[in-house]
Amino acid sequence: MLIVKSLSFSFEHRRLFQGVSFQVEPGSLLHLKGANGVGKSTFLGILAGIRKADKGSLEFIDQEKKAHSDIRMVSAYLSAEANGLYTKMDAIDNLRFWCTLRGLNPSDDDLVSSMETWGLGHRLLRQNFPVEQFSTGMRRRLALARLSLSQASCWLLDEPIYGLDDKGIKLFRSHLKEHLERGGLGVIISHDKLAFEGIKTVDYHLKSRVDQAKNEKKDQG
Amino acid sequence: MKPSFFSQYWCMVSQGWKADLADKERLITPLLFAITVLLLFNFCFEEVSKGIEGQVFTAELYLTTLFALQMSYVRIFVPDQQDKVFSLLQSYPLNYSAWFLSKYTLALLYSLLVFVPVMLLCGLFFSGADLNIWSAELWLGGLLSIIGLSTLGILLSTLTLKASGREMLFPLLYFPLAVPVLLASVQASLSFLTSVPGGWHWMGILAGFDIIYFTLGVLLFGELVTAV
Amino acid sequence: MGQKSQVSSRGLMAGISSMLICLGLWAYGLFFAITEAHQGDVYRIIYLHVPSAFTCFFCALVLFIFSIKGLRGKSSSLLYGKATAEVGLLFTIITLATGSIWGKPTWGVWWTWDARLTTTFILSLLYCGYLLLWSAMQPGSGRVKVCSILGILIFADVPIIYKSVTWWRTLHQPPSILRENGPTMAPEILYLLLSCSFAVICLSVWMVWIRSQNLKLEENLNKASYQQLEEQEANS
Repeated sequence: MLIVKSLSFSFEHRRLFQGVSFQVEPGSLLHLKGANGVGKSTFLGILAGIRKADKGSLEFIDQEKKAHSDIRMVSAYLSAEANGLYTKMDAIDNLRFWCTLRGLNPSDDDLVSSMETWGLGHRLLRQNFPVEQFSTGMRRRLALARLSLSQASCWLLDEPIYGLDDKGIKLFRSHLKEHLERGGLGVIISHDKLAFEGIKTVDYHLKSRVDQAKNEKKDQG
Repeated sequence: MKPSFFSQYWCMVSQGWKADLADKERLITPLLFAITVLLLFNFCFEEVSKGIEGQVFTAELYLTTLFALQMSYVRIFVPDQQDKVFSLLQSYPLNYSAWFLSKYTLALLYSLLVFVPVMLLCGLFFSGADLNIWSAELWLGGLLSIIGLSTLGILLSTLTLKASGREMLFPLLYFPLAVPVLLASVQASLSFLTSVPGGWHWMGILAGFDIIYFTLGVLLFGELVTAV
Repeated sequence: MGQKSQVSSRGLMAGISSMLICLGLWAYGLFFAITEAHQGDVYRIIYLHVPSAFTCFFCALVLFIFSIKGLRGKSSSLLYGKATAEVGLLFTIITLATGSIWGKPTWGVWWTWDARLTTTFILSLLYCGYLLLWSAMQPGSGRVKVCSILGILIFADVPIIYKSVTWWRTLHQPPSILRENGPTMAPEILYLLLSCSFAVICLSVWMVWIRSQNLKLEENLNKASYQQLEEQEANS
């Protein structure tokens, strides 16, 4: 279970969000909504450990009821416009590196079968074919393959189906369903609702400071 | 499933090495630059008179190394800046000391790749002079200096990661901070080459610089990567 | 606004008094202090040169303290750090200029590679680098930490630079020529020098304080304009 308490963040003087709190139960998917520029990607970055919030706390309670305050151990992050792949290296090397960094030790067969489940099964793609020669959609599939290999309980996804074709989107949905059924949880930002069609989501609307201030004024009467 | 320090360290080192092998120009360019600089120095100094050959040799050796390694260090994070790999590394449970040590090992390796050929080439250019470039103390001095320069290079490279115009800012910070290393290594080498006492005192200053900066590196690297 | 005038009047008093003390001591040094045996009247410039040298190194120490505070998370210490670097840069320039002016009539050279001047020169480059790093980064907590770490690196290096340059100079120059602070100095000169140094350090502390108030005002102005923008959008 992911517990977020009173998270606040501002870029120098531009306040993005304040006092954001929610809980994500195992097996559920939180859909982070909001207008462009309200700070959804920044918020996800804070959950992922890329930035530190100004105020507030994060906690993850795993299936053995152990609490983690550093959720980098249990989360896997996918950024919006980038995939975090070494472009001069091939797919297998990339996957192996990112898995070893987490302390996992998958065999080459595990890596290949993971790539196959994401539609990257062609033999040409595995080795001696640098990632810079992959198309946008193929790179995204590789990044998603890394995600499913990570054995992380918490998936933090920012526009995950960007660049994917219909088949890819279907694959993503089935993997996501599987992950949630296994007891994992996820926080997703996606303007395209196809990403989680047929999957039950809990919505959280991230309001801009201006809208928050407007609401406060309304409450004050 | 918690990753061990050594596995993360080794993973980062081998990945960095593979990434640089795949993009060989980053390995070779500093060496070619060093050779060019040596050539220019030799054009400027022309015929070196008998007494000062040792001085010119050590000056050329260490200035060339300093300039070429600056090029190397400023680009040490380039493979991590593509495709937001650096952000992803920040989101991984990566031990900061392992990260620092892995980058440091790579920096040391690249420094050796530049320093050894430069030393040999300098020895070639000064083969007429009576200088013993095979003395162990000379190589030890060189090793201590690149140990210090590598730490400084990594710290400043990380420091200027998000600064605009970092290729210009990096040398401006690097050269003044590296003055003690330059001074100590030149004086130590000169002492050993010309059999003048005092060489080990300079080696002490080098060792002191190395220890202080290495300690600062290990302590501050975690703060640096979470700040940039 | 009442708070502002209270702060500035206390600060102004402190500034005026330290400036007056400095001027008084310098005037004494210029007109009334004893003439030095070897150098004649031109030596009086050391009452400006040596205190400035002490101050620019003192600023490096102050920068270190603010850098440690900045690392611990106090973001306002970056403003104090920037102010310290600026004041430090000013005093390094004064030290180098007065050193040159003193050198010419005394030893016939405009520049000499003695340990203090060389280290001051390197320190001026480091202060410039610090200020350039400050302006090259986007404002935020990242900049605070990064500049703080540079402050720590600079402070760690200054003693090593000074030690190595001193040792380097003793190889090439006999120590008697350039020793200004040696036991050969008459006690009256020494005492006046120490009081001048103390006064100039107080002056520099005040300058750092007033400059950082300036920077804080700038920051508050920025904050206020953002808040105004938000309020405008909220009311629309």
